Amino acid sequence: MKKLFIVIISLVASAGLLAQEPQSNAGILSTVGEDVLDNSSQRQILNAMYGLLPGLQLYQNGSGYWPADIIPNLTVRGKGSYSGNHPLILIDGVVRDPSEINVAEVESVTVIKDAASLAIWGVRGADGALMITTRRGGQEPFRLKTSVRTGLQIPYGTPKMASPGAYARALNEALANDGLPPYYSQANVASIEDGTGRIIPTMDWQSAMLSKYGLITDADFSIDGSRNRTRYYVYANYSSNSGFLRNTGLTENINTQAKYYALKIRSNLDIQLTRTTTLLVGLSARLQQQQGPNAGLDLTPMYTAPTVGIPARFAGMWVRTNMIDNPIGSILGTGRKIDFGRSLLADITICQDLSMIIPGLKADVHASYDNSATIIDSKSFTYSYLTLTPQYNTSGDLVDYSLAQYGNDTEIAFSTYLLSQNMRFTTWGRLYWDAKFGKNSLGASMLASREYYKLRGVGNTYKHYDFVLSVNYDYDRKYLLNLTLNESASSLLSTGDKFRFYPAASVGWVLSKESFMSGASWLDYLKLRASAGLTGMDANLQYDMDKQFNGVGNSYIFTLPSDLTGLREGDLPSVGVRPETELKIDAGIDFKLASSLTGEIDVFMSRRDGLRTLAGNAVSGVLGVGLSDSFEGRVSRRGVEVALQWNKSFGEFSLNLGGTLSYVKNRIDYIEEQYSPASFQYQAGGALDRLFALMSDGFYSAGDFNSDGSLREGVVSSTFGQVKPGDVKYKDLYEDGKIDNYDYTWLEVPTLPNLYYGARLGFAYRGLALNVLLQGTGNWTAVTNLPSVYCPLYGGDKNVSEYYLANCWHPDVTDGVKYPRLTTLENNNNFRDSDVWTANGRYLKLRELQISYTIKAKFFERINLKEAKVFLQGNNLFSIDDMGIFDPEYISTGYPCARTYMAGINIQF
Amino acid sequence: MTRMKRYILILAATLISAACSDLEVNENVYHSKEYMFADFGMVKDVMTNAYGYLETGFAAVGGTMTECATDDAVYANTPNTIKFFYDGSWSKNNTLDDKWNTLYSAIRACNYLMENCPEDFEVAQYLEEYARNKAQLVNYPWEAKALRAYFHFELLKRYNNIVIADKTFTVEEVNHLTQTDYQTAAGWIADELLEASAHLPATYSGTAFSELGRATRGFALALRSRVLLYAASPLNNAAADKELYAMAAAAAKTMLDQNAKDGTYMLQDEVFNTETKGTIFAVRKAADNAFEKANFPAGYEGGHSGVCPTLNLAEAFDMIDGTPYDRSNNIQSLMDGSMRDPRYEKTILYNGASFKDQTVETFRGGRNGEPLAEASPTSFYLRKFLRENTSLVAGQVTSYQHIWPVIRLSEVYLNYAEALFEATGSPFFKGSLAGVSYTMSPLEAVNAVRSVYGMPPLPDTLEADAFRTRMRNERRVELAFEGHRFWDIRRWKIAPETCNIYGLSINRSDDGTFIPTPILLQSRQWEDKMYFYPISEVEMHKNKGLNQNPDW
Repeated sequence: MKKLFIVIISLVASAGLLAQEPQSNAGILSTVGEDVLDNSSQRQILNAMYGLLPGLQLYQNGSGYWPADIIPNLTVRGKGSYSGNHPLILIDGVVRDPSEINVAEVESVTVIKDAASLAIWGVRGADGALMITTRRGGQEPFRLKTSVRTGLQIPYGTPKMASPGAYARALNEALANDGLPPYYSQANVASIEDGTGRIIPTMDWQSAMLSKYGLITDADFSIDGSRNRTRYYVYANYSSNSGFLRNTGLTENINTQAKYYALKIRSNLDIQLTRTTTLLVGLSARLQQQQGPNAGLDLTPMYTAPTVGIPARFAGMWVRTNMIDNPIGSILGTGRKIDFGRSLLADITICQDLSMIIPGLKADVHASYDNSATIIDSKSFTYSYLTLTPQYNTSGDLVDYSLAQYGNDTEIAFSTYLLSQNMRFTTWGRLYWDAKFGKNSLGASMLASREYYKLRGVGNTYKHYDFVLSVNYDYDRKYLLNLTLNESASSLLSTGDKFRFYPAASVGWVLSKESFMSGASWLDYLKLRASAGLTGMDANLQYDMDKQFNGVGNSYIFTLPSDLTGLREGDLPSVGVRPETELKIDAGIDFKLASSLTGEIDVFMSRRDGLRTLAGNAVSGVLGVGLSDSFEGRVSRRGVEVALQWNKSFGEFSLNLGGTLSYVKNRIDYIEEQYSPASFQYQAGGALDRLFALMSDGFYSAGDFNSDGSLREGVVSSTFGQVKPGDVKYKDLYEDGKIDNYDYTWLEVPTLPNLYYGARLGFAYRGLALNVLLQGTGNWTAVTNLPSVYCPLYGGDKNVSEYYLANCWHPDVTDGVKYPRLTTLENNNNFRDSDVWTANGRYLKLRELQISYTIKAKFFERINLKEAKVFLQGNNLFSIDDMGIFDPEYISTGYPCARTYMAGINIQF
Repeated sequence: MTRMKRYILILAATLISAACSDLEVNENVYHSKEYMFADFGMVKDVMTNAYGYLETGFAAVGGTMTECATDDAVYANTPNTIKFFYDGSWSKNNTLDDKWNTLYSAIRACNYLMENCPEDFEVAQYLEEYARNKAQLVNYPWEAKALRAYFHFELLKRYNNIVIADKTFTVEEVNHLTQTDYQTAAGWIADELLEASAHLPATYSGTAFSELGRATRGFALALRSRVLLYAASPLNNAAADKELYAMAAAAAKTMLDQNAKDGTYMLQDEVFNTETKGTIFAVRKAADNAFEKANFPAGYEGGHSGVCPTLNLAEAFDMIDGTPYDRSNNIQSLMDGSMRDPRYEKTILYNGASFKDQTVETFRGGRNGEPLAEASPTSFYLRKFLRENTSLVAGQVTSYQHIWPVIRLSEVYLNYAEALFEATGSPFFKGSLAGVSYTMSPLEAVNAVRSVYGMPPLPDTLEADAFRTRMRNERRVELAFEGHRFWDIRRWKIAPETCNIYGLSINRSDDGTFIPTPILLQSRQWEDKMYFYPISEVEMHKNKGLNQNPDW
């Protein structure tokens, strides 16, 4: 019996949960377990969580980096603050980087979103938490699992740029729109189109630089079991990914192809030292190597270089023009860079049963130390290049180019440096006590925890303390009560004011246990629950905000060549420095019907205050010194979450269907804003994450102008520039007859969706199984102001996409167009923040698809083979959306995102 | 159980107090106000910070020179904000060159020093450095006073009605301050400068630190002549009160007389970007090639053309014989610097000029001419202030120092000429005016500047109006690209006459000769409200008591 107790405690401890766990206020579907994880086709854990947990929103990271090791952005119940979003991601109870964690080593993932469950994280908890628990051994005496899969990644969301002929005509059209002479004559255009002209070079940069696919491999190996007094789990993974860059063979000896390799090892041991003492040890290490061009993986030059007028190389040299970078030369021709990442995560926990002192008393002590670093190793060089200047004959045909050589070929320069390093030391100690008096159970726990987190550099040290007292009471597991009090401290707060108090309480009522419900045989389980409490967030603070930082000021040269650095009076300090505090109120229902349908419904509302806001917006500039932020901002949010799971077997056919849906609305209740005479220019009262932009009202047509090119009476004019037919006409919100800064407003639809949903479908027939994960969002505003693809031809952005040409205003196509006319000039009217450069970002994506077949054979038993499974997997196979040319989550001219197709085999002994 | 409770309480108390001390993370370095004024070195640094607010005009607005918003230049690069000055988009909610906040920060930096600067550090008196440190220390409040006046004038010429910040303001009072009118502010600034000039040294050359960049007596007096000349100019002197000109003339004379005694400065043929005796006050810049990157002609590697002088300016330079340029006879001289005032080729790169061992070709199809991307639309490129040796060739990039003249002695001569001429109506006036005896006539003052370059004197037969034209032209040419034209066309109220911008289109004929054709490039917009800047609507809202400039 005692042994069992210890097992329970050690499991609880390893999960970083308090003794409240049995009565947790979390809903029953807020956890994803091994049954789901075992069927995931992802390697990285967060990538496997899209749409699976109610209240957890994951968004593909659209920042343009190589997605091999990038984790999604996540919010828990949307955002509660305009100054950042910092949900905790806990791995075995410790805040850690989830990009290091693979699906195969995870036992469960739980989303924590209500005040009572978040209370133990005090001043860090307001943005919610995601708790990832790794696997431990002991379920079986011995088990060996291995899984190998390999496949292809196909780039997608790479908009096609205009073909040479289309580009030449578009350029001439743009010049004509601007009243300028054509760049290419009729004859030139014809020769470009039919390919007869040898003079004007053409180049398809996209197919020259991007290969059709990359290769991906992922191998897992694990053994677990128990022996004597030790339970063990050992896991190893190797994964590799080769990117989409085509090896042009033009840069000798230096391979600039993008490549990724990672080796991951974990070992979790539970050792029973004495009858009352258990030792838990966890070690996890990772080595990874990511290689790419020294110039980085931003492929913008590939999109901005037109297909006409510049070859990659000429006479053995790279070619460039004043305006146009040579994408192959600048990205693939300037050397390579390797990021070496190493990390070690180490945990130790001792659990002690203290029943000999007081029956029911237990204690545990935990320490963990994490350390990781990334080191860069680069080889770089520059090259000499030719520039082309067109030569025209008297009839305006481009007949030749003059060449001039610039730049130098340099030797290869080597450099190695530390990019980042961080260290985290987490300790806690706990006492628990549990007792049962008849049908009454009482539990109490005390927790003291400390976190020390240090990144490279000054001012990057953070410490947190939590002193938690938690009391649970239940009567017959029917009426549940929990009270948690946290005295929580952050080093970011002012001296003498480090602590904040976070109380929370929750109640539960399991109706299905009531005698009056006993008649409802279809009802297996029904629970009502509610919670309320305070949570905090200190991540938006900085050190010493209450101090006036007099310090380094302007420098000035009194005597050449050296300058003296001055000292300036610092900004006036902040008054009343405090963390954000959120009051969260939550109510929910959990149910299970007819042994097959499980469900969870939550409604919540919360109000957060203490948000940082600019104090300077109200003080005259004559003051002559800056003001630091004040803490008057307020945000509230409310929403609903639903999760349903239906499992049913019909003979050999089994079906499991699951779905989650969350709808969150937030509102800025107060923010200090710059003065505007127009009420629609204020952000307060509306949602977070909206764009401040102009609203379009179609395009100027020829009929809006007099014959001399001036605007007709009554047509709204633009103060941003002289408008012509085909330019964007904006809504004159300020109603003063002209478009200016006062016509900007906060667009209604935010850049994050309110509605987020997912569906998981599983079918199994004998050995054959099909698993599908779909995920989608409601309306949101995606920003599309990318140069060349959307905002073409002008300035340094010298190219245009096929999509733009098909959808923009042309002198002969003026109806039903989405984008303004082509121009080569900087057009201050068209190319500014407006709803023209946005799209509805809603989507429904097939995130994962897996077809597997479990092979059954008689001889398996003889060789001790428990299971053999072959499978085909695909990720991101399709998306239904309004964007057309991009993945709505990844509107970028960076490294393309990928669809993955893999085949693999699982074997278990 | 009570014992248990006590243990728990003791444990909790111990943990929390241990946590409190552990939670102090003191990685940030910051200085208290007392520390900022704790020794000679710190005070010097506080003073240095105030100087650091001085700006050059190399990239004054939108990354280029203010001349691009005048008839002296156009900006070659299409994406630019400088054009908002003349395309109608300038407004109180789309401000340009809005220096209100920056200049008040600069003024606060001066006040901060003036209000806190100790008179002495007696504890340091036995240190070796004491004497020279002390000598510098006592000077700081006067330097700060001169700088504060300069920053106020920078506000005044932009915003017309300004708040005089003669002390640091508190958050509570700052939203309720009121403005003074132009003449009051100008008078206050002039008085401040006169007071500072009595204490400032004539020169820092030969002093213990030899820090030439500090404010001198000459700076204060020269600036005072500028302030009073602006105050007397048509824009700010609607009643054409000649007494204001007389005061400006007297101020210029005070400076010139003082300089005659001190012998610090002299008129000379300037070699820009070097320390010269003709420069009274300058902002020095460490080696940098941003200015060359922005303004080297297209066709020189790394050049982006930037400031392109107009035909209007090119035609303002006299012929080498001292006669004014005449388009019908002298158009070929635009491509031959030897025919023109020597300042022509020091200021402008023209087709045929020699630059970086190459001949500048701005004719159509030339190395630096259209249709080359970013080529000058006027056919002219900037020469003044560019460090010719700068290389922007990848792998061989070099950069050099720059010196931006804030005030030069030749300006004071031209201030003198203008003020005395406008006060008396005569180019030849000598004698007593308002109690001051003038021995140099306006004409002689202008000729003093011309003679430095070997330019023949202006004829002594000029009528008053003709003299005014030649005198203003002299100022335009002498002070080209030094940030004066933008303000001169305003204070003279001639801005509406400067809206048509001309360039030169040069075609090379088959026999290699060049055919220059003047072309109208731009007809810019002008409204009279633009004589002063608008105060931003945001600032007007913060302080409800502020008055906006007319018609904004």
